[in-house]
Amino acid sequence: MERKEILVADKITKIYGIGTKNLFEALHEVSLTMYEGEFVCIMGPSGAGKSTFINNLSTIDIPTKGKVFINGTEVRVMSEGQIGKFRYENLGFIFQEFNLLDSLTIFENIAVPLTLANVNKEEITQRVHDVAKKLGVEQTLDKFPNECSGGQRQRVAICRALVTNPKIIIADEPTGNLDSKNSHEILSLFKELNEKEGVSILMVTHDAKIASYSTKLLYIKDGIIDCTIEREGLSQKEYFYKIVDINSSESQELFE
Amino acid sequence: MGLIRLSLISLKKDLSKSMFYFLTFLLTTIFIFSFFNLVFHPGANINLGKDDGTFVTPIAVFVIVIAMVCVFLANNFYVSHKGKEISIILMSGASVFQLGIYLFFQVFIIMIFSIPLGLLIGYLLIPFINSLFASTFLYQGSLFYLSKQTLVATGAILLFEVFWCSLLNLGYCVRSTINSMMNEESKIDLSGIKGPKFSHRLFILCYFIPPVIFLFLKDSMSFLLFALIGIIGIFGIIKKVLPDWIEKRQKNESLQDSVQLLGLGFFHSDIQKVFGLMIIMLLSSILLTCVTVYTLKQPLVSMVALMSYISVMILMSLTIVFKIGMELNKRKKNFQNLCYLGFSLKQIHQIIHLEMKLFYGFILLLPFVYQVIILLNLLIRSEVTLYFVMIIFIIQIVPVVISYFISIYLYKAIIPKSIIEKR
Repeated sequence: MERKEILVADKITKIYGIGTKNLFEALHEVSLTMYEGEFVCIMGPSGAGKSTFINNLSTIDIPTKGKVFINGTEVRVMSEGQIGKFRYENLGFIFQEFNLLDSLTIFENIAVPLTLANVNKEEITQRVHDVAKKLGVEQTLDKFPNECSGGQRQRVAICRALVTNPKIIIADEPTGNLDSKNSHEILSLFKELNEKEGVSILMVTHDAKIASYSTKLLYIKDGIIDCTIEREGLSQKEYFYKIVDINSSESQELFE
Repeated sequence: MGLIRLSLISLKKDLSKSMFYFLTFLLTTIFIFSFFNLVFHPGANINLGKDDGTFVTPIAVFVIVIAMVCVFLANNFYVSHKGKEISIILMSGASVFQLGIYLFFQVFIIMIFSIPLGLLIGYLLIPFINSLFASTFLYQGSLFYLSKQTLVATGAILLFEVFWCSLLNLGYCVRSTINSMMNEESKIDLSGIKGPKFSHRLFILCYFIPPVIFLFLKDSMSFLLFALIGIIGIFGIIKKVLPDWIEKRQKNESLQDSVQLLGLGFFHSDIQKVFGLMIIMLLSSILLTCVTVYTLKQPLVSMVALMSYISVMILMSLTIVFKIGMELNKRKKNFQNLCYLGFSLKQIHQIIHLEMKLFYGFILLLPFVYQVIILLNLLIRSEVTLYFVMIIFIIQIVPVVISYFISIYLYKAIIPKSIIEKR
């Protein structure tokens, strides 16, 4: 059966500091094709362009050159009016810093995307409770973000990302502020969402253990994709060692 | 929970972020209302526009521009502080139009409270302002008069402000990417303003020559003309001379004095961050003093200029304090690090006082030198009373001194508790 392309990046380049003396090319003609149901992880050393890449793929930032297609639609040609609806229907964002609104309760935070889409009150309540139950944060719905633990806040951020049933989850270092127990619980959830519900996931991490939950890994270095690994038939442990090899070969270069 | 309710909840729970915006709108309304009520007073005999034989029209334009600049800056502070909130809403699928409504609703609520209150305070201030200036200029007229034109003119300007603020907010959402909004706390940066490329000596000469000439001037119009040269000097002193002097002093003499080294460093950073606002305030002080003395023979016009001076000083002081407060928030970590490096609470207080004294000292003294010489010249020739001189000094000194103390208070609030507890 032919796999459906969910995200295509065609030679995207990102240059910062245009119009100043400090021009910096963070990405150089990077291309990627991501298929529906894939769990793609992006790794690389600090400053390699991982977050820039994910931001430019997901409408958070605009590439200087190149095209990005999400679910067959070119992102750059969309009007401002279309892009909001497009984000609502296709994308769910999760960040290291959780990015919850401190002034809203957990319930209200999860409900924000549905509110904007004018979903009726009963449906909002139902969907928020359903997703909160699934992620195990139902008991925190009346609390404020600062009354919750880091793990709970990240689960809430995932609830907010999932409440609209998006096609792709975009996660930038989602475990960066979590301890190892919470990190692996979150990643097990990602894996379950990916395998059982077919949600496509694009995630940035610098942790090989976290990356080993993915099905495909892109290693970015100096603004280009240095290598790609597919998990295919490998066990998670074998896949993990392969990821570690790539990272350590990068470190080995220091001594050569 | 609809979009409007979401907007209301956010406004209610982030009230502290709205305070500066509220205060700016309130003060602007009071000043514009009081200003127009004086101008449209039947006894004033002033026709704004091309039939104006007085100096009121340019003063009116100046005051309106300054008031608008303050409102636009306050609006910019407000919106850019909401960068994270806006970006989350955008990520959640909001269109720019929805975001425009979201922000407009918050601005609208702030105005609903600030504008009527401003009009009420303005109305209550009418007899006070009239009697104060009547005693200053021996002006005879009704103490309690409200012109219909005042309401129309004030309303038109406020509507204009609301329209432009909404448009600017929409523009901010359209042109910014989610990434840039999430990472930028403030969009205010007037430090890129470029001026004439003179040498340091020329800037210093431009500043010091006018006061020497002021000593010998007998025509009050000439004060204004020579002050314009002085403004070029002030621009250069703040932009070029002072930063270079600080750097040299840090390299040569302050290395062994850690308090001076850090105090000067923070002062340098303040100049860069608050450059535009400093220039507007210094320029306003000098120009409005000159305009007030130039129009002394037209008491009502002089009264309008004096009132404009008060308005601008209060508005600009408020804006500078707020901007300084924002910068200080970014320095919390610096003080934590100073604590790790072994600085005592006493040394940190010394650093803070040195920086603030230098910052507000320059804001106060650069125009004050001009004002003292101009007013002494006029006082010696009996063209102004000592009472008038005192009023000008109070207008110049009081807002700056209050700003100094508020800034010190804000500064002390950011010192990490760990340092205070160690005391």
